[in-house]
Amino acid sequence: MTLAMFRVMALQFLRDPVALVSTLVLPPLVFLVWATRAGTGGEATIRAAATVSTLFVMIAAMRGALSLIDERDSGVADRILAGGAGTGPVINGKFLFLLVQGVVLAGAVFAAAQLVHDLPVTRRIWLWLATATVVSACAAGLALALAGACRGRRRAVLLSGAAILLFALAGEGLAPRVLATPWSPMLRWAAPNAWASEAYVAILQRGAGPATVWVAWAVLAAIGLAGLAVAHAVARR
Amino acid sequence: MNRRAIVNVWGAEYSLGPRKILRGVDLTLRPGEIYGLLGASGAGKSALVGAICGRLKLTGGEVAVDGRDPRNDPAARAVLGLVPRKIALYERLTVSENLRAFGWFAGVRGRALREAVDLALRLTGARDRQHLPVRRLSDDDRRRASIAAAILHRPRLLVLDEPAAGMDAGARETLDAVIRTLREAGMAVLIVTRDLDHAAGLADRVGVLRQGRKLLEGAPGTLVAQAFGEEMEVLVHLAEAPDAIAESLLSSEGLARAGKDAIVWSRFDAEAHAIAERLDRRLREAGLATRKIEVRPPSLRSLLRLVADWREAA
Repeated sequence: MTLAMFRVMALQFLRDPVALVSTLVLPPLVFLVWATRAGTGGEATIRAAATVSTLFVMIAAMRGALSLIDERDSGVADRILAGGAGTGPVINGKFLFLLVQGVVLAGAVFAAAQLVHDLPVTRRIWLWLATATVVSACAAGLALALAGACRGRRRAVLLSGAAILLFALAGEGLAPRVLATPWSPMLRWAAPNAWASEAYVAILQRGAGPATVWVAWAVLAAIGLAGLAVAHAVARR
Repeated sequence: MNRRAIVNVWGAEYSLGPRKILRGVDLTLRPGEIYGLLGASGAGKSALVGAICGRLKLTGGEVAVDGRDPRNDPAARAVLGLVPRKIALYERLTVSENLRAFGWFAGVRGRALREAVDLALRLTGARDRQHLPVRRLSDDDRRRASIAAAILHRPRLLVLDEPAAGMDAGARETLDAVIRTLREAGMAVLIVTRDLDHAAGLADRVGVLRQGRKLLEGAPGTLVAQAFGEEMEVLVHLAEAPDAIAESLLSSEGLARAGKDAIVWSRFDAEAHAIAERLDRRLREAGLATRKIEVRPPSLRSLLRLVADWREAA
């Protein structure tokens, strides 16, 4: 049943040109424009790739998680739940798909980064893959929890947009200086994308191993699993 | 054929805060039977179906599907297929992709799934549209695909929520044929509808809910025959709403309003034809314009109107 939902999500994704472009084409393009305009190299390039990939992973996860609301509104959820299956496999299947979607999206961005800016992604592929996986799991969990908790699509889109904007401002230090406070640097660690950036920079720039990045991995995985647990709890109501 | 009841509802009660949605409803449905659950909006139909499908926890009474509690036992839910009010399919996927997906959800795999998809397409007449995305189908074809998606796991009970909503007469006939085919295959069919005529024409038995209570239950023809016997209905369709004098004339002939707008008046009587002729003459003499005066056999709709009048009078 979990795999069935994964397959349905994948089929729908492949039939949706907007989803395909915004997952596989747009993120690498945005990264290339950002990195080229800034004239960056080294750590700055890795941070640009990490920021762009993580924020797009969050956006893509939210778009996918909205299917929870669409299925509820269209009666598909009633049809599925009227059979023997419960809500658990539905949520797990969506989580699995969003996780894979996130890794593929991050892969597209970092592939562009390796090809154009010669980042050592393939040389550190397993550590990169582990980081991309926990980042995607984090985004998937948060998105499913938010979509599950919202009654309507409009509210979910509004709240997720606001959350991603806040994460971008706090986690990437993009907030205007006028909004800066003495505790702004601390606030950064409340944003999952800050942990993601640090993990990518550590493994690709400083050559760090699991002993260094495990805290970031643990934080991202914990957020993702907590989100997944909330999504399950909300769906069972 | 196993005639043990597939659905048993005993004294179903459901309250939403202070509001009582269901007040002691009983229902039994056997394999190979089409049951029409009728009632106006807010009568409690959706709550009863929710309880049968295991989505809603009753505040009193019990529900058993195939002898098990549908809320707590997945095996009970596995014997039922639901056709929701909305089409409830993935719009971007083709009909056959949708059917495969809902087959997977129902736990059907491999060769059994291929055969189930083929059978469902054949039974519902949706085979020639199987490679089209659902969003490109006509309403009629979408409804067929929706039914096909509910029967892949060969349920013994099919629940259809307002299946004919928005359908024209032709499409409705096709739908009815599909439902009868499923009944002949031994399936019990529960149709939830507000459409009296549709239920009367299709169902073996109907149950009428009103304000959470079951008002009537039985075979449509039997119910009507028991209530009216030899009587026929005289219907007067006026050209415009009558004034006080015209109303008193109609009332003196024993006619009562058949609608809210006072344009249609009716009376049930064994001498309906004689009454119609006399009415025609008297209304002409009074200068009251009519569109038509007709005599017709009473229907389930007539019976419900009669019951509503009795209750109002009481």
